[in-house]
Amino acid sequence: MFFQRNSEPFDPYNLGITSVKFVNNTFYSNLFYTDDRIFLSLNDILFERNIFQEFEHDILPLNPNPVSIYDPRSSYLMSGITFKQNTFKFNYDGLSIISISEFHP
Amino acid sequence: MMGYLSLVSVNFTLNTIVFISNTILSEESHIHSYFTLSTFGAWTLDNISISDSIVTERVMLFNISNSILEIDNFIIQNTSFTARDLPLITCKFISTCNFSNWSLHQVLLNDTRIISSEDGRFSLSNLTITNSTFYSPQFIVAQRNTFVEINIINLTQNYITRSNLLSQFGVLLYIQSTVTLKIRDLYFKSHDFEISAFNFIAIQSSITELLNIHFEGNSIACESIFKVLSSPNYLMDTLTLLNNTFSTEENQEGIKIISIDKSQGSIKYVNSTGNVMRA
Repeated sequence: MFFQRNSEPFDPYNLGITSVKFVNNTFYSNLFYTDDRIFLSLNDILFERNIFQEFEHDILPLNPNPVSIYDPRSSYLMSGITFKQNTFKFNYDGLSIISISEFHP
Repeated sequence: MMGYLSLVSVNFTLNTIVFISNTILSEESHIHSYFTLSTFGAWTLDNISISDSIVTERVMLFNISNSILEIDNFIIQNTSFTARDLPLITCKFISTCNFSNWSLHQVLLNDTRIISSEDGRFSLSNLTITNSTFYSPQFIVAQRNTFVEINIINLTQNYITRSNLLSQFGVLLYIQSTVTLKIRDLYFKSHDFEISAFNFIAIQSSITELLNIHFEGNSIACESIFKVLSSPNYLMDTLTLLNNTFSTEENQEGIKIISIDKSQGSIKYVNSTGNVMRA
């Protein structure tokens, strides 16, 4: 995992990642891991000529939790994301490049 | 169920997402997608583009459920789709989908649907499709209690042909068992294709409104252009047929521009000029 931050209970905060390039990599695991109460923003991210090999996760997932989804401060922004000449090899059925997983209130 | 959606305060925004020449490899039993949006949230996707790609079988663009979604400025160029049974975009359950300003240029679709909508509210405005090739397409399929509203579709110089998998129902639009269908400003120009014994637009909905439908310079062989089936309240207002050639080979009775069965409604302002009808 390239980016990971632990969250503190009852202390939601935002995490912004801006201007990152991933070129000619081979990934076997997810790049962004967000725990509960982290509101992730991705801006100006380039993925070029990478191989996502035997991937077991969505490439860019978001899992809003039952608390944060009702928090008026929570938002999710993904802006300026470019995928160019990548190869995605997913291991499991139903995986996606960008995914917001199901949430049951 | 709509109450859940009204409680959602969070908004998700995806702005300027670009896909160029990517490859998704999929096993035969797996289905993947570019986007899966299945949470209870309000979504805005703006400036999404896919170009120079081959989207292989078992891969969808959007898999949408339980969401309020807007997709604006969506462009697909120089891309081919080969998913035989999967639509490019699936909206189901209690989704509300508003699509606007979509452009498809030099796209190849092989035995697939563009949009499939079930049990939701679906609107599309400003769809342009040019210089594309479609093998047995079904552009928009709406079923099961869907509210459908379509405004301004421009299709120009596309190549449309059939394969053995062609549905016997509507080719451009197949609307079945929907609550309301409203289409305004459909322009269909400069096409040459044959889908004999099949309908171009098939409609079965409680309320049907077709306003300002324009066919110009086409050569079309099919059973009927519009087939309205079991619509208790339909209105067609301002149909323009200009310099087209309509023909059919398999139906001895000749092509039917409008075929209406078990329906009640009215047709107003039909302008037919310079057309050729061949039996």
